[in-house]
Amino acid sequence: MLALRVLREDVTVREQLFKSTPIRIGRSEGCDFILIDPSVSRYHATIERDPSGALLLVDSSGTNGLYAGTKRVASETLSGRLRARLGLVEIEIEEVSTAATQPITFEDLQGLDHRRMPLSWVGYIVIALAALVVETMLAPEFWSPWNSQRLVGLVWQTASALVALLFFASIMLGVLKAAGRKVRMTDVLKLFAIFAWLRPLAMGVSFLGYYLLSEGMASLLRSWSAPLLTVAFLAQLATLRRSPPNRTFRGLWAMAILLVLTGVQLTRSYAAHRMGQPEVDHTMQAPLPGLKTGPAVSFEDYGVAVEAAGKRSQDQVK
Amino acid sequence: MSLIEGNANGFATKGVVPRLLLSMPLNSGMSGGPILNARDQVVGTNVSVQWLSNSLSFGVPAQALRDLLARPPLEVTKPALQLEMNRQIDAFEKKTFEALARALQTGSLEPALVIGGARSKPLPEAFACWDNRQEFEREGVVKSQYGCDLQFTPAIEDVGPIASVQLQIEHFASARSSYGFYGYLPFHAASHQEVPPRAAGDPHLGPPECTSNKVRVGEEVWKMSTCAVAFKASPGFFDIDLVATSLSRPKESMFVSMSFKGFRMKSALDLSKALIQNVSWGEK
Repeated sequence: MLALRVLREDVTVREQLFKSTPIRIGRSEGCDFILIDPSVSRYHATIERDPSGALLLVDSSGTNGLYAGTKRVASETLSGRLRARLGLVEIEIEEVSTAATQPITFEDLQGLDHRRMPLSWVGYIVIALAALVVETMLAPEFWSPWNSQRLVGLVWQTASALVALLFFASIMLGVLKAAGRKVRMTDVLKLFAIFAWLRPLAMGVSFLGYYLLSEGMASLLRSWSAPLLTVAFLAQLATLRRSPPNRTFRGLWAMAILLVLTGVQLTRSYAAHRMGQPEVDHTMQAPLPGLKTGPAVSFEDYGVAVEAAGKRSQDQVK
Repeated sequence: MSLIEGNANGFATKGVVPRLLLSMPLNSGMSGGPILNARDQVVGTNVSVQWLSNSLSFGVPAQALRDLLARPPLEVTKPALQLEMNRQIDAFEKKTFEALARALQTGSLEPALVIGGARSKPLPEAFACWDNRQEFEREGVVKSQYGCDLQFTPAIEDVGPIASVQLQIEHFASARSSYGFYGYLPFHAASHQEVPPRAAGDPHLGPPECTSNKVRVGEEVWKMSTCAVAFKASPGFFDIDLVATSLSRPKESMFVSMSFKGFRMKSALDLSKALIQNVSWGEK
């Protein structure tokens, strides 16, 4: 059995089943599959069986032609699913079977227009904002005795985050739609929600790192976790609902974003250097009560590092 | 020509540079003029007045003048002046270091200075000190401060103060939170640590270079950050700023910040160690 479909922007708008060949396709009333479009000839194409039994799509128009993909063809063998263009009308021809029900896979769902999401977009907004609240409350500044407007600050921050979230999600949605992706607000918000929770998680990891790793490693972890999350987030966003899913494409995006971030960071540290600001991280991670801090060096060893700093300053004078 | 009468009150005890203490008005323009005793002998030269008051004045004792006159006359060329400047920086640094190192070695713990919950040996008399205590009632925090300056330190035009030492000990005690209490304090530490940004290509000073680590001195563990700025024309001399935060107790925090200007690296490190060994937590 053959299924003939008319597509508009990749979406099936009409479908008809045929049990036998030949099938004449065209604008004329005498055709089996009628396409009312000025670019389609009266008898535009025919589907027939050749002597060997294979199905063939044959051009009989003469005027606007038959296209398989981007190239014009006189005839095309049918196997599986074929997309063809008659004048300006895009059709799909598929040999279908009524034999057994085929189980669907996840990939099959990718192109479907009406997907079911586990949560509505409101749910994802709530999850993303909850992550922000947790992140804020994990930060020691929040619990500082000098932070007297704790709750008001939190409410204000959450409200502004809601506005920002909707604003940026809409922009992302617009950009992705312009790139031809079949995305919906829920997709974008889901991604925001997932990555919003990765930030407090990364914070937790860096707290642990402070106690388990050396000073340098912990500081490296702290300074790299946020940019790497940004890269992962943007790369994921850039490849959202892209069909087919492509690892190389995602990898290239990640590389490009990483390059941009590195460029920004280098420019910043160069500017800081030019302005004579010290390039050192002064944030001193204080211990949580009851936990031991890592090993401390002797004053003599510290003195060696100070002397090295002095030498660096001196060397730059020469 | 006019003469101004006044009383000589002996020598200043603060600082490591000898000064005559005078009760008499001095005004700008009079610097370098002679100070005569009752027998019309030159005992010194006018140098400075107490800030915002003109009747407490200071003079350089004649001995310093005699030493200066005994030196061969200075050529007025740039290299010769630079050489003299380096000699003076060197001489002042040596003198200051020796005086402070000696005083810090012999200083006894009793009676101890109490700065909030921290204690320190009394600092050498050369330092002029002040203290302050601030209660933040709503936050449940008490901040105690103790700051000291080495008085009468010389300064060189453009380069700034040399052989100068500043010290500050701060103690914070929180009645409530400890996590957030420490969360705030790094910002505070950073405000101590900040090396004033200098324009690129400063003609006299190199760029600041910094380092930080956890450091154990005696019983205490400190988080230390240090920035060093090299003097361009005087190799081996630096401006060194060091801030140390003690992390040993959950609801108390201690800061010690030190600033050494125009010092050799080794002298500054030795004095830092001696000063920080002076400071410890008080009894609970």
